[in-house]
Amino acid sequence: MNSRFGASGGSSNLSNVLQSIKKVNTSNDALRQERQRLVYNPSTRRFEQVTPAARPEGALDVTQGDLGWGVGPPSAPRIVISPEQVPFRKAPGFCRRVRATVWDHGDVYAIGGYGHEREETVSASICIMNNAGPGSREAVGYADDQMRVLLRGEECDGNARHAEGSVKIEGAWVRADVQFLPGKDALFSRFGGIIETDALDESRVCIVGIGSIGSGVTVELAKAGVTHFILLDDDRLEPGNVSRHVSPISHTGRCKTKSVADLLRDKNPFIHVVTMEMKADWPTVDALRETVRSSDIVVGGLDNHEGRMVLNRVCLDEGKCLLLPGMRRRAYAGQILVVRPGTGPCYGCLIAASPESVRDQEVSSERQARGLGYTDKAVPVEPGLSNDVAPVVTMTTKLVIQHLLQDRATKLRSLDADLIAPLYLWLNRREQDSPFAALSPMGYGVDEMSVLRWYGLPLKRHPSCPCCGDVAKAGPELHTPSAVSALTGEGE
Amino acid sequence: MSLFGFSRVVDRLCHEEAALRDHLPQFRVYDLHDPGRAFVSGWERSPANQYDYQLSLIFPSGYPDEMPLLYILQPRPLYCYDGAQLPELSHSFHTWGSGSNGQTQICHCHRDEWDPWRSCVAVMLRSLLWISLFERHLRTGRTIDDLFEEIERSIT
Ligand SMILES: [Zn+2]
Repeated sequence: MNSRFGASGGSSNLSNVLQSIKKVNTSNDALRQERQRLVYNPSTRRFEQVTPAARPEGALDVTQGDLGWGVGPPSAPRIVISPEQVPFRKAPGFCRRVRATVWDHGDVYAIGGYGHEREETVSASICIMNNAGPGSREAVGYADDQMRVLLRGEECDGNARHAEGSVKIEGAWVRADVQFLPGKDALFSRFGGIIETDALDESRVCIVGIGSIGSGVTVELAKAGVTHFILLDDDRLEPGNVSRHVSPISHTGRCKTKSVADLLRDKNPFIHVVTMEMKADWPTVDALRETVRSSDIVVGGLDNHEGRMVLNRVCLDEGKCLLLPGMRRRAYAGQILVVRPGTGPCYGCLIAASPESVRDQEVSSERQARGLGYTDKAVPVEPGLSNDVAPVVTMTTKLVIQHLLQDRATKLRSLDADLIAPLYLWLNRREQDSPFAALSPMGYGVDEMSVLRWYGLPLKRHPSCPCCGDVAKAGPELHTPSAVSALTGEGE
Repeated sequence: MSLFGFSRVVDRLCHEEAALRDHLPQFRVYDLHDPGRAFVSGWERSPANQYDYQLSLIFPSGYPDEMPLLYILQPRPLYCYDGAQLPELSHSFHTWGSGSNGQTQICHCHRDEWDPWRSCVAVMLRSLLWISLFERHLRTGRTIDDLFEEIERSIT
């Protein structure tokens, strides 16, 4: 109980207080909307809920601190301002007209690029004024303002700001707290000591296929500080995707690229995202090539073999590192192929070495199933659990960061020696009818191969690979099925 | 296409030409030093001597990473057992649309299953198998898919 409360009531009013608190708790939502205040009215010696306009003369505010526990009446509304919205080097009298996004029925007013625009916005202004005093709030701004912030002129260049905020509630101005969001440098400063804050700033990552893996990797990279993205996919978010996708159900029907781009901007407003609503396919190979050329690394979170072939070709031609993460059926296993052009194996090499790992893929959407099946021979949709996809998202993110920071001195350098393999395998379970059904249970062992661990596999570059090899030098080892030749002679 | 890409495809086409000469000499690669125009073509007299078939394999710009397209140029059009024209897009007949001049396109491989290790010899063998099954369809009325599955069962 603070002094205000102690001075006003006294213990004789305790039952009144408790009743009022109960009322406040149960009607909290309604109270928030109407933004009523709980006050002590000294003239009636009662606690009353009033709107700011009807506040009795001499009434004392009862704050959440006075109540001391649980949910109390709402605190003052809060105004949150992005750094770029602060008028820079402007003279007193300057007034910037802005739109403020309203959150939670008027609890928060947000101005600026942090977070994409919601539907509910109001007119507002940020004004420069020296010697602000009583009445100055009314003297500036625009007639239809629902929110106003007064800044002292000399504070517009620095970081220490004493702003005076107010919002209009039922026609009356009410004081609001003002909070300035940190600038770009401060936003990801907590990584200091592991990697430099700006280490990933100039890197450009191209994510092709914004499904459960691609979207997950994108968001994780943004959290690590990557700020330049190209997102490429022509698919839209379906209700069936949402359980595994980073996007919320409210984004159903939106292009996956645009939905994820908004999530990234919510995470970091300084992010640059280019979205391309197209399929990675042979007809789009030229556009894809341009995109890959301007990227530092490419992640192909694709659900089809043809798209992976196209990306493999383009990345080999452009000399760009390509990661091809994927899940096997029902996500019993995940794998990541790392294509390092010129030095390591490519997707064509993987097809030759392990055709089953290419064919055995998770079918996680209706669209993918339609692509794989025929009109009279459907392929069932059997998605795995999001939790089983997560290890692949994490490892792919790690591999991307490691590649982007390859020339920088960071605490991650020791990982270079760990992550040399071109192919990584993760087993979520000992799936029946898979090559791993007979593995020993993980138990306490560390010597034997088991589930729930990463394995780096020594895939070799194939000298006569039709994609990355030298056919002229190594000679072809092309597939000519012998079984078919026996059949062609048949007839009558 | 880069210079390296260009010579890579030309090398590949030279090997394909040599392999066809060895295994299926009725076919050859034309314009093999010009990947943008190269194609395989040749004539096949069917085992049952019903028709002469002119086959053509068209290499797309992404070959060998991208799947080549297989056409029957002659006879054109093709007619089924019941006298109707062969359906353009049918799983049971393994047809995959038609070319600009009404030539039949054969589905020798699902687009999403093509891998660049598959040789032209393998693809052309597939076309010869299709012809022999098509002619058997003309005698029996059974679909190509049905006959194909029967053969698959018999060899596995
Ligand atoms: Zn290769």
